[in-house]
Amino acid sequence: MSRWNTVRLGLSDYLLVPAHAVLPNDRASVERLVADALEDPTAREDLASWLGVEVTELEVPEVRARAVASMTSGSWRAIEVEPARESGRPILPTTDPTEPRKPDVPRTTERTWISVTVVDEDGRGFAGTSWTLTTADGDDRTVRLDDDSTWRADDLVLSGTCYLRVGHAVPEAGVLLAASTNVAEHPWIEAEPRASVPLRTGASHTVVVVHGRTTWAGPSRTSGAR
Amino acid sequence: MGRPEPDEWCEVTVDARMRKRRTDAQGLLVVVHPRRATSIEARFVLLSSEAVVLDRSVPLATDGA
Repeated sequence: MSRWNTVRLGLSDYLLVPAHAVLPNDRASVERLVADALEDPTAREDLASWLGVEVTELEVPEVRARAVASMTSGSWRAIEVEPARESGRPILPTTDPTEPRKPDVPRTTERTWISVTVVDEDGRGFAGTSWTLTTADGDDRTVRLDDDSTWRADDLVLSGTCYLRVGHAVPEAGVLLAASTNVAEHPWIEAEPRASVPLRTGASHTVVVVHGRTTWAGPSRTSGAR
Repeated sequence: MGRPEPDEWCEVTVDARMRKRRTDAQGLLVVVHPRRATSIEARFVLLSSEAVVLDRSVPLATDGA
């Protein structure tokens, strides 16, 4: 049973929640929220899925820092929509979330860039399709590929690793841009929903969408020693 | 051999790139990879037995060599 109602508005996915359900996004609160999430197996999976990484990668400090940065910057806000779960320790609002944010990271006027071209293994592009790029500071950018199946941003505020993400639906490849693409020379991304690939800022990347598929039957515990 | 274990962690190495995946509710592991991959290996982290390939959409570059 929820402590308060969340109200869906219209045909879109808008939720109406009380202001005190919006968790504070000061660094201490966000770090506590992330630390709590790491202790809960379900929350760990959710956190990894949101960040587009494997659960095991949550042990990497830079990955956790990305989660914290994306919430303290205001790009993402946490909203409490249900009461305490049995295994969780929710953080309750302690400050007025409507107060102006006090940035704990000084903004810099320097900018960095990244360029992405997306093709499949046959060299076909994805012109006109949309992808998502999660920047090093946790911001999500919509990547709309041009006629050359390329997208570039020159206004990234933080150097580091970005993640190109497929999203919920894998776009269809379009016209041929090259004879073929050598996967060994480029980063590749699986043609499946929620796949992601890390890309460094300050470089042009050609990302190859791969479609090969292998299915294994896992071993049973009775057939192998632990 | 009994029923494959669900939610089992597996290290999948496609050429030199390793990623971790888990088996699904039926104990199956589906991995998307380059069609022209040279080698694909699946190693279960906590179980000593080998995974069995059920289906591969394309032959590997080294198949039949």
